[in-house]
Amino acid sequence: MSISRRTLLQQALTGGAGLLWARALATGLPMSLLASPKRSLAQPLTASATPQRLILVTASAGHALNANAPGTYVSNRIAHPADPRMAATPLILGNQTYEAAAPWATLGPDVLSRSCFFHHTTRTNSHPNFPKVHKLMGAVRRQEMMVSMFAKALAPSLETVQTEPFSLAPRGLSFEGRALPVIKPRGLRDALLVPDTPVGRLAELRETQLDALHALFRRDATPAQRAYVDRLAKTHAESKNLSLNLLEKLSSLDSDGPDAQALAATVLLEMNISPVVLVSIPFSGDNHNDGNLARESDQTVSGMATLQALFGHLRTAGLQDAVTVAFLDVFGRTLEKKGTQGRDHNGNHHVMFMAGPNVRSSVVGGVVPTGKDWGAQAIASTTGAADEGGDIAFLDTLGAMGKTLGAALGIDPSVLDSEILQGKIVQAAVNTGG
Amino acid sequence: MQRLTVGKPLVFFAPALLAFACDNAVTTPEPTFNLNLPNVGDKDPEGPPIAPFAPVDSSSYLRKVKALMTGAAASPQELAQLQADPGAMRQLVNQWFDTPVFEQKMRNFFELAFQQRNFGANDFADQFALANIRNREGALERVMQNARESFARTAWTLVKEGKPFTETMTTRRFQMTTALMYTMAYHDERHVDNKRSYFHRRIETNAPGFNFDTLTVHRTGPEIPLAESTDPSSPNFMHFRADFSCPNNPATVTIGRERTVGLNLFEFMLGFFRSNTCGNAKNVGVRFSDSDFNDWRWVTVRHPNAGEETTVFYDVIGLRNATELVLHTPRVGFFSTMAFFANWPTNEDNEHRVTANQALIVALGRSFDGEDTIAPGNDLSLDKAHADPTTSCYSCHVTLDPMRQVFRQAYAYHGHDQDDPAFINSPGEFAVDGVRADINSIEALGNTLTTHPRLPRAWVHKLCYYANAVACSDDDPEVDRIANAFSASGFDFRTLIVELFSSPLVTHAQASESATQNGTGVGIARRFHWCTTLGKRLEMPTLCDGGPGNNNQRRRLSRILDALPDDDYARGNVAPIAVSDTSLFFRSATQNTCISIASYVVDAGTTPLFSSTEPDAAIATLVNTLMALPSGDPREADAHQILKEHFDAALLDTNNAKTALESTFVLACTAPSTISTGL
Repeated sequence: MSISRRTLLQQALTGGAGLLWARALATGLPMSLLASPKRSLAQPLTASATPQRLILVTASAGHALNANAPGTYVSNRIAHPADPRMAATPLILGNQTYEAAAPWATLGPDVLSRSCFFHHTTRTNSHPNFPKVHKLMGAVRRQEMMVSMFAKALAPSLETVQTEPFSLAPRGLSFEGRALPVIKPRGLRDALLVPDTPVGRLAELRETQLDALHALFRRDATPAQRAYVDRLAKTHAESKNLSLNLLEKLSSLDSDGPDAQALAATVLLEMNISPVVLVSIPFSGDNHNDGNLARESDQTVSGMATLQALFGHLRTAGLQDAVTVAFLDVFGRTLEKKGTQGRDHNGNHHVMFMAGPNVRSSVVGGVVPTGKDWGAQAIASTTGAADEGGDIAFLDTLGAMGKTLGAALGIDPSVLDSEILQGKIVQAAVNTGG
Repeated sequence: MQRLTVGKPLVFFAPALLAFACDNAVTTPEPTFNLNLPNVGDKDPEGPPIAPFAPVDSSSYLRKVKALMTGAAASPQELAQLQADPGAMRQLVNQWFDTPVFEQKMRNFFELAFQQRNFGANDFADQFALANIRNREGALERVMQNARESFARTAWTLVKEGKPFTETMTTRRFQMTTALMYTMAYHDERHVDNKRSYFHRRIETNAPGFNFDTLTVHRTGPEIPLAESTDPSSPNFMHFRADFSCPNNPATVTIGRERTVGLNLFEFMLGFFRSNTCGNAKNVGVRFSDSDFNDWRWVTVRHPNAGEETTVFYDVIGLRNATELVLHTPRVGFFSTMAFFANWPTNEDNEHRVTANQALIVALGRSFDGEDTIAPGNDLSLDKAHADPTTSCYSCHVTLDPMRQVFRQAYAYHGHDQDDPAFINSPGEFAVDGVRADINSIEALGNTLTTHPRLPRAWVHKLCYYANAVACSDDDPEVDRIANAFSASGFDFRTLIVELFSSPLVTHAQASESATQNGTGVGIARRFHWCTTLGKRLEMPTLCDGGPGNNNQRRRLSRILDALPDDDYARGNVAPIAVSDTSLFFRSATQNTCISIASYVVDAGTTPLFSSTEPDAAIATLVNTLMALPSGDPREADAHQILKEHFDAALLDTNNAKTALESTFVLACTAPSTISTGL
């Protein structure tokens, strides 16, 4: 029996009789569960927006991505690294020119023309509140996390093999109250690739006898037992028929670091495993004592290289118009200089970077002096401009970010309004036609 | 405009956090937006056709039930016994009940069934109104693991003592360790009210034994025994000895003030210390011994008598010998543990609705789903602003709100004893499935659950899922019979196991309504079953923890095992999560697990399980023990032949008997009977 993974994926993507079978094969969930319409979103996605898969870069470290993003080069009180690699560089976003750290310019016009930098609060400056930030500090209904809500909304349309987000590194995230397992890139590799050992190399030789064992257990079996053994045989065939392309990518996963996560995320999306894949890419770490912001500079440069690689992987896989990439950290960092030291936690300011085909090139919101540092401003939802009298109040900017990202993923605005109890979609940031 | 301060940890507690089902009043029906698994006993009308029923042969169901209970393969004697007398299954199940692996399996089952497992450090710390509990050397993780295991061990010990299983709803005795007692006693000392304000009951009132505002840590000098550090009559009271770096090398470092010293002390014992003098946080060594995390014993939790003090949390020496915890916080049954509250945190909007609903799911396999036709006696507890009678929310809240009232009476939002008279005096009511009762204490809730007619049936269903990974039918007469037998036995858990695991609901030796409706649950061996089965059959008890080999090899095996589906539970879902079908990941991960361990069982050690110098004997053991096909099984001879063919072919290919036998092991290890249940 020889059923290629690609054939299965084609079946899965085009629908038809093989669809549920293929999805069940890959996820292990019973077909009955996958088939039940009562477990799918009642309100479908809008036809006007292309439903997107999401790669979310997320961490509880509180990286300084917010400190060098477009929209923060508005005052000489705001500190940026002196490292020449981080020099202020003009970026064209929409029809405006902004300054940002030079590494952002390396993304190139094809990415920047579909990138939004959304300034908002995360309403906390405490690392352990990472899970609560993912619940938008309580604004997502039923204690759900934003990414899990997105995944539930997107999975039926994308016909992914599982509904739950797939985490390649970030911990502490949940789906309907249960912890999401973390399968790191090397775990993915080790689970799927036959080891190159003397016993591993005999896999082909075992095929004949494994077929014989399948036949043995079909003999005199009940109909249910026979059906299950048939499925065992099919999934075994599937596991040995991963495409050469995927096998090569999997075998190259020799670390669990950001670059490997970027490749593994692409592989998972190629396999249509989940609508949401979670990765971690550092952009400074928890840099309280980062003298001269050297680590911030190093990690911004390396992080952007990883991001470029990720967009490259997506293009190679033909997924550039099917995937939105976004960032969500537990909080941003202080913008002003702390002597020769680094930066502290800043619950008042964070920048969500999002890039995808439904994203309008833009900067949403902005910063304003707040207390001893700077914080995000209220926003006018129609223009996306920072506006202290705007209809999205400062505290609601977190929910607004969630709704706007959801809209960029193609989720129906009425569903977003129902499931996120705070904020508004910033129309200026999305191309949903809505 | 509200702004947050910058630079120091801040906990923002959003008003809508942790809402249950109706977060806001709505006047139109809510969109359906959930992925709820079916309720227990639900038939899925959209599911695939169920294969026509045919009775399972004795060899297959013997293999299934023995593996499920013990991980071991059936013996030829057991097969012969069963073939001679199908009624022998009850006797065999009764024997297997007393095996160590069954205890291991049931403790795992109870952790999930009583919903004590899924929480992290953030959830746990929230019960102290803290964002995190600072500690070193993994001390907090060990405490949290104690908390996860505590009620499962409680339930199992009750079972082994022959107590009615219903005591899990009412028990005030819990299996605990010294470290867990310490943590619970400190939680009780640090009272957190509904506004998230904390107050150390005795430290902040300078009560006897608590008249200290500082800790003094000596960086030099002789060791200070813990007994002296924690003895109020000792000159060394609240003086500790620890080695750590500090600028200018002071001999002593003192920290604390009245408001903070309680937490300082709590975290110090867990290895954490920080002072402005010394800068960064230090590891001062965990003050608990290994045995403090493993000295499981019965501990009775009770309220203080008049004039009696509660347990002194810092008295670790005393705790080591204690069998009582005197606390203000009521601890009754599974629904009051720190683990349950960490799983299902609540707040001023949710108002214990999630706690009440999950407790109902655990005890009775019921959820407040709006389908119960029973009406409460009054609507005094109904939050009418939250669930207006004209909305779809009303049908759930009308019975949910009165029941959650009992949690509000007993507990503030962070799991401490309630101190708000308005909540303490609010009436509570239980109205579920034909049973209505006034319940004005958490003890009364336990008693009401205990006597509810739904309880025995609920646990039949939970164990059906455990055995089959599919639901038993709620209208199956066999479910009735077993539930009645369980009830008639005085809720003897052994009776429940014996009746269920020897019944057609699990063996499928005869037809049943459940099998007709939902199938016979032939499926994969889920992760915990798979690794305990391999561990037992290969005499490799650490397999579930990463198995043999060096750290790299153990990490690799753990990564592979992580790709296998395991049992779980989820918020609002009556049915547990038990994946039954095979997948690409499952097949790959089982194969790679087998390849990873092959070298540890073939020609390994002085008396290897499988010796390449005696391939015929090794192959026989692979067939009988690993594939669980005993002598007398109709497939045994053919399986032996298939393995032999592979061994010969592999030997020809490699000219290496060890490699050939390792490959033969992998073949047996990935055989359908080894990786599945119900074949």
